[in-house]
Amino acid sequence: MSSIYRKKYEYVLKASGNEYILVPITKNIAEMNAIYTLNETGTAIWEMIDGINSVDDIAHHLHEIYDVDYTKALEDVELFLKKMNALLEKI
Amino acid sequence: MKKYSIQIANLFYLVQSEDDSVFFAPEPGYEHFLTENQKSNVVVKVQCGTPDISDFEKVFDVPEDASGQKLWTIYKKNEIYCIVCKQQNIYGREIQAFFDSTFCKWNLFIRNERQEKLIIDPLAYPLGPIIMLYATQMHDGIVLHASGVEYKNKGLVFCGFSGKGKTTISNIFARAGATLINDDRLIIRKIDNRFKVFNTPMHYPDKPKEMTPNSIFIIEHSSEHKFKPLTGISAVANISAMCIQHHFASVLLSNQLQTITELEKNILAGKLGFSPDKSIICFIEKLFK
Repeated sequence: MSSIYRKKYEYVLKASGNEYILVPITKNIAEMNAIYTLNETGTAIWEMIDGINSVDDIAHHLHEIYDVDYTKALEDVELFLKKMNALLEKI
Repeated sequence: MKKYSIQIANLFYLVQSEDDSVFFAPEPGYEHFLTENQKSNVVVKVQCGTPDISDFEKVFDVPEDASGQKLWTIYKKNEIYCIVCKQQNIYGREIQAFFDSTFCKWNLFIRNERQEKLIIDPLAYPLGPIIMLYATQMHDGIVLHASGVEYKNKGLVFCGFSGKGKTTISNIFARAGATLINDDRLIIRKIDNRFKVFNTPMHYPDKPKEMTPNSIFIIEHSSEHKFKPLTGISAVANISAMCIQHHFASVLLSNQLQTITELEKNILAGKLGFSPDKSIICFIEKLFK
């Protein structure tokens, strides 16, 4: 069964051209300089992580929207989850 | 005194009390920022008391200091926040500072069971810098760990955490005739569609100063001078990381990012490695040619 993830924190997402800045609201001064930059694909993945969509669901979405091979889409999702591990939790 | 106003980065802070026990004596660092102007972007009312906040939820914490104490903590109930802190200048008394979602209307309560006469500066550390930070973020501004100098009509901002060389590089420029705006903390605000850099009250008296920013350098010590320009999202991310910020309210973060996104379009930004000698002046001058 495909894993499901959810975001640990509230966040602010700000667009700048084709890219986005993501700043988690961690409520902790030790992490006040944690800032992430996302491209369009990363942002699409991020927005689908909601505690309901599984990893497979997200990969299928990328496959359909961006017309990419499903296997490649799944790789991208798994890579993204690894990169953003600190902000996510597996349900 | 029972009421006074200060002006920081073109924002006006009115501090007042109707409590018979409370009198104000601003610290030396605020001396030159006092103003007769009765405008108020921020209002801080002060009284004695200890409201019950047992049903407030903790939303932001700071690490313990060297003595094992947490200097301040933020709590929230509905749309009202409360910072609980202790201030050295009030004999270690606890202050509860309530503020709403405008981040500009404050009600401070000072523990004073014996109703003793208190002569205080409610804007002393840590509360004053916090009030200033949120007000700045709500008015198209950011507060940076940075030094700033104005040299040959160029406003140079050097960002970096402690030990990265902010004071070193700004002193090099000051010895060459630059005007030192400040060597540790700056405000950058958008006012009437133009950006301005301001100094802020420090623990020592200093006059208010300002300049127009032409560049933001994120600095570090290096064996040789080198510069890597930053633009777009990369510039925004790197400058954001240099801001003083508290991650508990999305509106403050969102405002900050908006300000930086606009700022980076108007300046030269980049990572600057420098060796601490005056040849860095020529190196930087060439970047503008």
